[in-house]
Amino acid sequence: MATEVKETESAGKEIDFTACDEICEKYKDWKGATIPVLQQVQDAYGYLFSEIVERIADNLNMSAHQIYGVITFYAQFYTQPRGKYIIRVCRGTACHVQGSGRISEIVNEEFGIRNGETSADLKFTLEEVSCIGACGMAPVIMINNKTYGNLKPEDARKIFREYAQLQG
Amino acid sequence: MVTVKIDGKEVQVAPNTLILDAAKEAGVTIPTLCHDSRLNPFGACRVCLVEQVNNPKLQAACTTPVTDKMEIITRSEKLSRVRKTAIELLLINHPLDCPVCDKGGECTLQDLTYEVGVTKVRFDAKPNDTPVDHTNPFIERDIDRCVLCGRCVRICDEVVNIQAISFLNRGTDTIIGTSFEQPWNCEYCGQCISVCPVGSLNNRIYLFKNRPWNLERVKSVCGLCSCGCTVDIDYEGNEVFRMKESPAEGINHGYMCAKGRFGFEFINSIKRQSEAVVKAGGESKKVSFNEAVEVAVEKLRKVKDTAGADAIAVVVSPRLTNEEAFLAGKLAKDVLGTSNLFSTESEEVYPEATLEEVENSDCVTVLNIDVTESNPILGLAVRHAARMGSAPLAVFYPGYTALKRVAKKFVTGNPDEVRASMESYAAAVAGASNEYSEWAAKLTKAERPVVVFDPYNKADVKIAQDIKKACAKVKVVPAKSKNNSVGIVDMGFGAKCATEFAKGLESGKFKAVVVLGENLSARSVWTKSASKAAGLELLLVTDPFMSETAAMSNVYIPVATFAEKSGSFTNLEGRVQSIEKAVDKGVNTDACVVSAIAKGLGAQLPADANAVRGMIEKEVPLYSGINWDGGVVSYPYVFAGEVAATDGKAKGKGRFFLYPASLRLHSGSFTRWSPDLAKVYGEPMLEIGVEDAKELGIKSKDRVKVKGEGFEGEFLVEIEKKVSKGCIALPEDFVATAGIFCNGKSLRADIVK
Repeated sequence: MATEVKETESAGKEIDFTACDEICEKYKDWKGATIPVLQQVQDAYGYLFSEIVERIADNLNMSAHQIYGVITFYAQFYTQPRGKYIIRVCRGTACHVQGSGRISEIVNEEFGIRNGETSADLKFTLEEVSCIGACGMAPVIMINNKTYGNLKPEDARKIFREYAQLQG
Repeated sequence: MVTVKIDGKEVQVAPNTLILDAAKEAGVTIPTLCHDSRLNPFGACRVCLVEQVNNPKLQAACTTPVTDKMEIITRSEKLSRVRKTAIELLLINHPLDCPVCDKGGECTLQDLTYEVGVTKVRFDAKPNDTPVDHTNPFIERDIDRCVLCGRCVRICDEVVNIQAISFLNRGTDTIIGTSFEQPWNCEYCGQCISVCPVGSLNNRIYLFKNRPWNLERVKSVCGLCSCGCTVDIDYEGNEVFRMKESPAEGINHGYMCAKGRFGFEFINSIKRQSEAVVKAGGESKKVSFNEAVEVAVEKLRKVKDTAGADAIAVVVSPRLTNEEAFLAGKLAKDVLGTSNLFSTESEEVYPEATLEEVENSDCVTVLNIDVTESNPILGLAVRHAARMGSAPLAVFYPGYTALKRVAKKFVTGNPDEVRASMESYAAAVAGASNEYSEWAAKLTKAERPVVVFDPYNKADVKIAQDIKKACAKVKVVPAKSKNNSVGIVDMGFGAKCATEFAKGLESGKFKAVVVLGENLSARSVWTKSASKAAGLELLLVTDPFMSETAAMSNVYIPVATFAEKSGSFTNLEGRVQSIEKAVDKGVNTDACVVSAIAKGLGAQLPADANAVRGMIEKEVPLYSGINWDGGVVSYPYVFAGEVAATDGKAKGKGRFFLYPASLRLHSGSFTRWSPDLAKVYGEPMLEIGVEDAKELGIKSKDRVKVKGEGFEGEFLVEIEKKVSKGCIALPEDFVATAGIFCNGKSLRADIVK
């Protein structure tokens, strides 16, 4: 998971393109290299912001608009900063009837974020997903790669608060 | 060949022909929406679905190749239903605002809706209400009307290779847009407008100005550069409303550029002159056409009688038609008896390769010119070869151009480095072993190699000639600049060196000068001597506008533009094409002026284009028996003789290398009177690289002084990523910059803040 999140919209701040350039260099003359390049650059920078997309476009001799088309097509690419902890709330049928909607609300109560949003301190991102594939544990959530099932709303709140206490 | 049956008609077609094309062959029309024969098959709209006998699945005619014995049905009850549904679904989100849509009357979706008979919308989804995007100065984007046929995205990718727009998002959220919703910035060629089947992409110059059914149309040839594109001029009364592509016609295949599509406004400009002006004793007087001609005739007679015919010179602009240039030559030689015929063009280099040969070339080299700006349609041909035909493309230019995306090799650097590289490359083609040997081998091994170069740069001509000498199968393309740069030379205005005219002005040899359409002040070769023309006994200038030179004249006659006359232009391939008169702005043509002067001097010269053509066919051997609608002139040679080696090194001293920038939408002559082009690029701007700008602490839109040996000027700054470090560039053809490049094509200069 991405740990390093770089500042971007902050105008004037220098962005270190070294990692991006190195990745692009590796794939320079490959055909169909766009997706692996985007994946690796996203891993290195946390998400794909406009300056980095421009840079990739220049390096790969492509159009940034075309690359942006690819980025917006795939769910795996992000154009907004993402939190350190990604909270995935399952909104599949089984979890829905078990009240997973309430868990999303709790995330909003705790961190003020809705689906797809990231908290201002870049700690949490909420993602409502269709099905995690663990219907037996409904309602179920994932925080990064850890799964929590059979949740009561207040259990979930407790878990979120524990994460909020963690350093960094 | 395979045999297919379409609606009962049997046809034989090549294997892998698309059903759509086979149907065309059989005389059957299949409705389409997303299809464009110039683009790769796409199959987005499902309007062209057809039935294949013994196959339960419907086939998209625009993407499915035929197989032997295939039987296709294009009209049936089932297909009507399917097509109707396809259109109904498109109409769910498409706003039904046809009465106020600019596309109304020429909209494919409208026509199809009518054809399939959708009379009611069965769905209650509300049309979207997204704000219309006006970030592009020439193209309006109304995303709600978009049917996602993808023609704009595909043409921008496959033909223009700019990819300024793309499909964004996925599924029902898909829209056409730009990266991070940035303002839409591109070459402004407007190819996307030309293929949009609905009113999603509109021409902002034409927007809300007229309705298509009010417009009359003539097919003509664009008069703004030497490509010679076939265009439709749409007009009502005496106003030109738009210039648009003649679909899939002409050497341009229905493609156009920003200049051609959006730069016609000067024709309608209110700044155009309608009355002749005669200056005497420091006073200007508006006079009738006949009076102005009378004054000119009298002065010509006087100069001829007192100073001799050699004191008279005739200068023509490369914008005149062949017929007009021929008449001007007749007037000079036969009526006035002078051999002083001048233009900025020369007969040192003649055209060779055609645009088709460029498109089909298997190895293209572009020497020190940004063809995508100077001759955009030639630029498209180069891109076609490099992209579609995958010909290896090598480009030499001081900064990156739009060809970067398709070039296999792009050599940049400061002008001296680029020159040295080109020389090495030419040497490698001739057999020398150096770093360009590998690239030279690609050229020498190719079957149909093409070299594009700038015929106005002597040092480049030399390199092109060296390459041609070493590899005879190379076909060259001298990228001439103006619409009839080639033709006026054929009509006799290229024999004398342009500098001779400058010398004649300086020395006072010329007492009477007839300038037809040319602006001496904006031509680098003449700009320094132009002021001398002000004091002549006669300076007759014809021009649609009061140009700098016209303002100095003592007899000025306003004349017609290319949309107001008939005649012909010869393009950069040497192809002669007829132009048609569309409108009448109440002014005479240059042909009328020449004819009237001849009459005043007691000679008969016809003004009618057809009559002149008869004379040309008789008197100009190159044009004897020529087809005036697309015939290619066969020239006796490509290079007139051994081009002298010139020192192409940058002249002068200074921190920066200064070279002529690519044209950027227009040169400073006619199109500066087109307000919308001028809004985007109004005055000459100084291009500088990002790093240099940072070092000097200058920002975009700053005004800085450029100083070199013998010139100085203040310009707006434009920071350009593509400009190499240590280089700056200025456009050449503006009055403010002509005085700089008269010192050379490659200079050194300093920037003084």
